Amino acid sequence: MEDRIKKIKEEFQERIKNKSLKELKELEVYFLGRKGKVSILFQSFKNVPKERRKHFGAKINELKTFIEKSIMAEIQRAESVEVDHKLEEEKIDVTLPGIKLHTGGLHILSQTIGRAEDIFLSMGFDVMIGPEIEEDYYNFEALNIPEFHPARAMQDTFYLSKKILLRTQTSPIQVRTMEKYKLPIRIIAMGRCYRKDAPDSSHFPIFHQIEGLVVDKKVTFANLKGTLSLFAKRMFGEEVNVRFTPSYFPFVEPGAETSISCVICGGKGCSVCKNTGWLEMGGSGMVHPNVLENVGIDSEIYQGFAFGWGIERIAMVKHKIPDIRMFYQNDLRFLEQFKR
Amino acid sequence: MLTSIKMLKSIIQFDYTPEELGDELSMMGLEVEGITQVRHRFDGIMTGKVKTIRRIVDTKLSKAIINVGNENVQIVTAASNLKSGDIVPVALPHSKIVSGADVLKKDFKGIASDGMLCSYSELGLDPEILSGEEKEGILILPTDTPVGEKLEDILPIDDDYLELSLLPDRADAFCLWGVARWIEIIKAREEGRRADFSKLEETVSLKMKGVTNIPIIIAEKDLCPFYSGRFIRNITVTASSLSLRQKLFMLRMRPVNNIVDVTNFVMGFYGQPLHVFDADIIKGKIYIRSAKKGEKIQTLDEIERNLSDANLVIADESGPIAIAGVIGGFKTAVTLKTKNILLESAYFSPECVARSARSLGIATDASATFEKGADPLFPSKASSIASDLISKETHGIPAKENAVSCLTPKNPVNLRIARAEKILGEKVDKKSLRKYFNFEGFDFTEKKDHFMVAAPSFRTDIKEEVDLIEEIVRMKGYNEFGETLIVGELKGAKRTGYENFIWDLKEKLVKLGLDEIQTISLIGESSFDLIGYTDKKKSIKLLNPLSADMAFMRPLLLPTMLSVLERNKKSENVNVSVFEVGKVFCKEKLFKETDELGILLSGARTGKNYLGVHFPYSLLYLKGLFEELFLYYDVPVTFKTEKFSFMYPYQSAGIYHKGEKIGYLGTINAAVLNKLGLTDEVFYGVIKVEKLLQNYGGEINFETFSLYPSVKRDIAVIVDEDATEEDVRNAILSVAPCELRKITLFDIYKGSPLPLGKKNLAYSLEFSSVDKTLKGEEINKFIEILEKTLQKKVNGKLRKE
Ligand SMILES: [Zn+2]
Repeated sequence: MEDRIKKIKEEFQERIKNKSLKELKELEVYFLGRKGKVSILFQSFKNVPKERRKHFGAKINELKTFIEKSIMAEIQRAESVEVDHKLEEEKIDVTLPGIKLHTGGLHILSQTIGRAEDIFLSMGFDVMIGPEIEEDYYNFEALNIPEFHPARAMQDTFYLSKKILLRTQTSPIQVRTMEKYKLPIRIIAMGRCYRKDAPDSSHFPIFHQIEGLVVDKKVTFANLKGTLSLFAKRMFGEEVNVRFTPSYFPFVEPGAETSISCVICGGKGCSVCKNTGWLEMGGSGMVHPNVLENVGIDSEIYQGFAFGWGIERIAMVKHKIPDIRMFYQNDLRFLEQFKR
Repeated sequence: MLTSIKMLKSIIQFDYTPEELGDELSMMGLEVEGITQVRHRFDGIMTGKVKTIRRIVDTKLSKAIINVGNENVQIVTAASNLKSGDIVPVALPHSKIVSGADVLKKDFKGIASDGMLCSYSELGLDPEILSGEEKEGILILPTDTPVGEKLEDILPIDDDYLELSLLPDRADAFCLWGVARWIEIIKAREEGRRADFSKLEETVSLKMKGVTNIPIIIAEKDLCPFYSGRFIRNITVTASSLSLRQKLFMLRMRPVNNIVDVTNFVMGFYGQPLHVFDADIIKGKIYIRSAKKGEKIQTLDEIERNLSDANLVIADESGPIAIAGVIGGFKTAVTLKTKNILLESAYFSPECVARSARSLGIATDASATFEKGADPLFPSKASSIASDLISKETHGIPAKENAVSCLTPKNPVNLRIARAEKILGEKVDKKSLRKYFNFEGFDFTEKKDHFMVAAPSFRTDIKEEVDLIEEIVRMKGYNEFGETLIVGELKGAKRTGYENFIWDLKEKLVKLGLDEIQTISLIGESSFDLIGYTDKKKSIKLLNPLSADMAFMRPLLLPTMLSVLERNKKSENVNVSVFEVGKVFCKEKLFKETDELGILLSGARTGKNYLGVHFPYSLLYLKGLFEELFLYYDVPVTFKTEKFSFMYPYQSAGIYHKGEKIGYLGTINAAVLNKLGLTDEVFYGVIKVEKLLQNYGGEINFETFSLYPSVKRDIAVIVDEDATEEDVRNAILSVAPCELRKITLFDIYKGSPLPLGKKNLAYSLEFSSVDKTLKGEEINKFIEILEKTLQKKVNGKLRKE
C-alpha cells in the first residue's frame, strides 16, 4: 500500500509538469475523479488490515490534499498564462501617435490684446471701446489737431464724408470718455484703426491700438515713465528697459517716443533694431492743456498723461513675427503656432 | 532728408563721429534714422574737355578726342548731347563705374576707345533728382570746371549723410542751417554755455543799385504779414557755376539753371522758400490777396488750376501770377530769355498755406515749410543772400528791396515754476532753468516764481507754457527723470460689460473647437459680384480708397472669411473651422456699425488617421454649434428654410428669435466656390452678436437632479417623408409628462420594409423624477396617448416591434 501511494505521488509529480489548463483538468479527473487513481486507492482501502487503516487513511488523504493543492496552484498559473496570451493578442503599440481632435484657439491679436488689457487692469485702468467710424471732431479737432494742422499729413486718413472718417487712432475713445465720465480717469482705449498706408512688411491699412489716458490732479511725467516701464516689463520680461526720446504729437506736450531695449539682441544691436539696441513702440506724453479744455476740464487743476502703442507691433516684437500682413492672412500654419 | 556732414562742418565745427552726432540729435528730438555713407563713387574718373567729336560713318556712335590734362584720349561714345568744348567725366581704363563693371580698353569696328564718358546714372547719382534726359545723357560739367582733375574733387559727393526724420512742428530743422543750430545747442549744453547762433550766419554785403519801384499791396495782413520784392536787373540765365553746383550736389538737389539753383540752394540751406518772377511780364502793381471764385492760373507745372477763396495769391493787374507759398505761375516764370526779375521773399501763415495747398491737392517743399512754420523774421535776410548769389551767378544788378511788414512782435511766454514742477513730478530750480534757456539761446527775464521767456523767431514751436515745460525735459534729458507709479484712489478696474461678453463669446467658440480669425474690414466691388450681393446702395464707400479691392466697408463677413479659405487652400490646409467676431457696416440714415459672429466650416474635425475615423463638417454640425451658443446664452430660436444668393436653396435657413431674424446659415453654393477655386463643401453661418448678449451675465442657480434611477424607452415613429423632424418632436413633447428629461433622435430610416414615401424616426426617451421612482404603467399610459397624438398631428404611427 505504501508503495502504491508513493508511486501515485511520483507519477503525479512527473505528469503535472508544464501542463496546459485543459491537460490539468484531465489530470484532475485522472487522479481525483470518481474513477481516478486516488479514488481507486480509497476503494482498495477495505483490503487493508484494520489496525493499519487509520495510518493509510491519513496517508491517502495527505496524498489527495497534496494533489488537489498542486493542481489548483498549477491551474492558477496556467490561467494567468492563458490570460496573458489573450491580452498579448490585444496588444496596442503605445508608440502609435494619438488620435487628434481639432481644438480651437484665439487669434494672436486677441491674445495680445487680452494680455495688455490684463496688465493694465491690474494697474487699475478701465478698458474702454468705441466706434470705428468717427467724427472728424473726435479723431482730430478735439485732440488739438485743427483742420489745417501739419500733423494731419502724418496720418493718411480714410474719409466716408467730409466730416466722417475711419478713426486713425483710438484717441477718440479718450475724448468720449472725458466727456462722459467723472474725474479722475484711468483708462485704456482699445480697438481697430485705419490709415491709408500701402501694405508692406511693417505697414497695413488696418491695425489695432492700445492707448492709455490718466487724468487726475497729480499725474506727472514721472508717473507716465513708471507706468509704461512697468507695462513693458510685464509684457516683454523683467530685463526690458524703456527709453524716452523727444517727439511731437499735437495732443501731448511734452511728447515722447517710447522705445524698449531690443528683446532680440538684448540691446547689443542687431538687424531688427537697426543696430540701435532700441525698438520704437509708440508715442506718449503729458496731455496738452488744449485737449483738456476742449472737453471742459480745468487744465489748471487737472493734468494727465496719454500713450498709444500698436498691438501688431507689440505682438511682432514679442513673438518675432516678421511681417504685419500675416495677422490678416489667417494662414492656419500661422494661427496654429500661437495655440500653446 | 539727407544732410551732408561735410556741409554741416562748413558752418559749424564739431568732433562727433556721424554716429555720435546721430545719437545726440535723436536724443534731442531730431530723429536720425540712419547714416548713409557714400564712398569712392568716382574712383579713377577724371574731368576732360571735348576737343573734337565726329560721327562714325554708318553707326550711331561718335569718336571723340578728349583732353584729360596732360594727354588726349580717343573715346567712342553713343552719346548725342556732346559738342566740342564740353567738360565731361571720363572713366579711363581700369576705373570703376557704379555698376561695378571695370572700364576696359575696347575696340569698336577697328576704332580703339580708351575708356568711356559717364552719364549721371553711370556715376550713381541720385536718379530721383534727375529728369529723363539727364539720366541718359553724358553729364556736362560747368564751363569753369578744371580739366584733368579727379571727379571726386569736382563733385564732392563722397560723404556721410544723416537720414533725418523731421517732426511736423519743427520747420526750423527743415534746412541744413537749422540742423547746424541744433548742433550748436548740443555743443552749448555740453560745454555749459549759452548757444550763439549769430556765428553760424554768413554776413552779406550786397551791392545794390536802384530801387524796386513796384507797389506791393497786402490785402490779407494776417495771412501774409511780411512780403519783400526786389528787382534784379540785367541778368543772364545760364547753367550755374561749379561752386553753386557743388553746393547743390551736397544738398542732393538737381541743378537746373542759375536762377532756379540759387532759390533751391537758399531753400535747402536756409529753409526760406523764394519765388522769382520775370519782372517784364508783370503788369502794374503786386497784390497779395485772396483769389476770387472763378479765377484761374496756369501753374509752373503747366496745369491750369481753378482757384477759390481758400487760395491766397500774388496777383498783378491781369490776375493771379502765383499761389502764395505753394507754387508759381507759368506765365511769369523765368525763361532763358528773362532779363529782369522780381525776387519774392515772404512769410505766409501756416494755416493759409495748408488750406491753399490742400484745396488744390498740391504739396511742394515751399508749402511744406510754410505749413510747419517758417521763420517770420528771416525773409529780408534771405533776400539779401539770394540776391548776392544771383548777382554773382548772372551778373545781374540787385535793387533795394521793397518790403512790406505788418509783423507784430511776439509776446514772451510765461513759465510758472510751480506749474512745471506739478506737471513733471520733480523739483525744478531757477538755476537749472537759467542754464536750460541759455543752452537754447532763449532770452528770458527772471521773476520771483516765474520766468518770462522769448525764444528766437525761428522757434515757431514755442507758443505757450507747456512748450517751455517740454524744453525743460529736453534740456535735462528725457531719461534723467525718475519712474514712479500713479498714486490715486483704488476703484476696482473693469472692462465694459459688452467687452466682457465678447471675450466670453470668443472663449466659448474656442471651446467648441473653432479657430479665431481676424480679417480686413475693407472689401472691393468684386466681392459683391462674387456672392451676388445686391444691397450695394446700403454699403459704405470710402471717398479716398487705397485701392479698388479695399474701397468699401464690408456689409457682411462672408467675402473676407471666404478669402481665408482661399488662402488656406493654397497652403494645403483643407480642414478649416474658423470664426470671426467683427464689425460690419451699412448706411441707413447714418453710418452704422454692428458686431457679427461668422462661422465657416470646411473639411473635417479630424485629419486622416489610421483608425479610419473621419468626422466631416456638415450643415447640421454647424447648426449644432449655433444651437450650443443659443443654449449657452439662453436665446430660444427657430430655423426656417430661406433662400440666399450665395447658398444652396434647400440647404439654408434663417435664424429667428421671437419673430425677428437674427442670423442665417447654409451651404455655400458651388458657383461661388468655383470662382475661388475651392472644391470642398463650405458651411457658413452668421449671427448678430448683440442678440446673444441680452441674457448674458445672469446668475446661474443650482437646479436639483434626480437621485432615483431613470427609465429609458425607445420609440419609433413612422411619418411621411416630408414631415419635418421639428413637428414630430413637438408632437411628442406636447403630450409628454413632466418627467421626460431628455429626447434624443438616434436614427432616421427610409426604404424597405417601409412603404414608399415614409420614413422612420427613432427616439430614445429618458424619464426621471426628483421625488419618486417611476413606474412602467405611467409611461405606458403616455405611450398610449402619444399614439393618438402622432396620428392626429403628423399623420404618424408608432412602430411596434
Ligand atoms: Zn536688436
